[in-house]
Amino acid sequence: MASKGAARVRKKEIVKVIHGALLRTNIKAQMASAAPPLGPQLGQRGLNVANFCKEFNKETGHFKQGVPLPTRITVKPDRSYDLEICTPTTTWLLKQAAGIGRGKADKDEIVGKLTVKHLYEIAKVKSRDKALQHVELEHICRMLIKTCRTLGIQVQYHDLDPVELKEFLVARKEKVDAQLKELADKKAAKMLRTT
Amino acid sequence: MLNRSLRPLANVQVRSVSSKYPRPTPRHFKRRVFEAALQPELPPTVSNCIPPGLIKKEHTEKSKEYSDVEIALANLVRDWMVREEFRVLAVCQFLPVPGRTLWFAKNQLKSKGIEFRSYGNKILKKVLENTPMSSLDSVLVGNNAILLAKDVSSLKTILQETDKLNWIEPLILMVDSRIVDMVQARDLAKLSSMEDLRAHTVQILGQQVAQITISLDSATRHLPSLLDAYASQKK
Repeated sequence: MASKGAARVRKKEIVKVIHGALLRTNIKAQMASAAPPLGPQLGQRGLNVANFCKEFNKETGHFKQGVPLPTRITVKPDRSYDLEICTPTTTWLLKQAAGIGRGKADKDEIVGKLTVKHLYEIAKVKSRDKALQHVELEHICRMLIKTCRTLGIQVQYHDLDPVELKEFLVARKEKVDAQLKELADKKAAKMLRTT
Repeated sequence: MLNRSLRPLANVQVRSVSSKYPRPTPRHFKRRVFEAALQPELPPTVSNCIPPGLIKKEHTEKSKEYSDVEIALANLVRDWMVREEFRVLAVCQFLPVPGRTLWFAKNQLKSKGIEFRSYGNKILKKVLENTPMSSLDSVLVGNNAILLAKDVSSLKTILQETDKLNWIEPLILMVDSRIVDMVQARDLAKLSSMEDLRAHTVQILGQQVAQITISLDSATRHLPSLLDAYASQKK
């Protein structure tokens, strides 16, 4: 009996997670808040979440609201931090340039079209990042082409034909709507399922 | 051996008897007779005895062989090194380092005209095969990386930069198919520029030529006087 009582009193073993000094996360511009997932991430590292959000939102004032920004936060032992806000994520930039909101769902699906000129401009934007300093523009462009492939964006050398592109985008929109509807149906069916 | 180890398991499954009860070993003779009678007739298996160390030897031999991909990579690296016309090669000891730090350091080195590469010793040995650089094979032990530069004066930069980084330590340098050890390299790095060295060499060579001219001149100058003295003696 006594042992049972002791077992009941014994607390659960708490595994203390030791976090590294660097926190890599994507935060939407001007939209940092103490809500999950950002709040707990910062709180676990002992940062003042309110102050961080205030500073981040102030620093990202020149960005359009809601742009995903890769952020690197180096937490120091005295709980102060270095904030490094990078240029918007590559996928977001590419999607914006291609005028799409959704990447490929199936293999070999083409979701958008871009030219090398677009990639060059995006590469110039990305080259301002701390991580891409002193990296050749050609190398950045190659990385962008790889990301385009994962997204399902077709990269072409020649300029885009506006009429053809419009037709493609209209057709694509219908397809995406159908995909989203199918997903919503699936979700609804799952919610209703009782077994 | 395998048969013996699996048999109890099979029995457990068939009889649904708990495996928690230890079976008597050796089994009762009746049981052994029963099992022998039920044993399926299989062709006798010949077990081969592998001499100790043979497997390890085979593994070592296999690891020395080059796959097609490795040969292709080695060719690619060699072509790139030739195409870019690198003149300085530093073989360094490469210690473990976080990826982010390594990426920043690589870019920093690139901005100073130094290329950082770590292909592994096996590939590097293949790259340097049949070249004057193959003598570097003895250094390629453990975890290594190479630093490449196009200009001879970058020797100084390589030493300066590697001194700043605690995870990379140059072991030996090679300048235009000539091996330069670390002591020599440090001496060379002390010079303000390589042009000083060239001027010094020219000066030494010039001195030698001047010395030879003076020596030859003195002989020709002395010869008439000697002949005069000889003629006067004869008279």
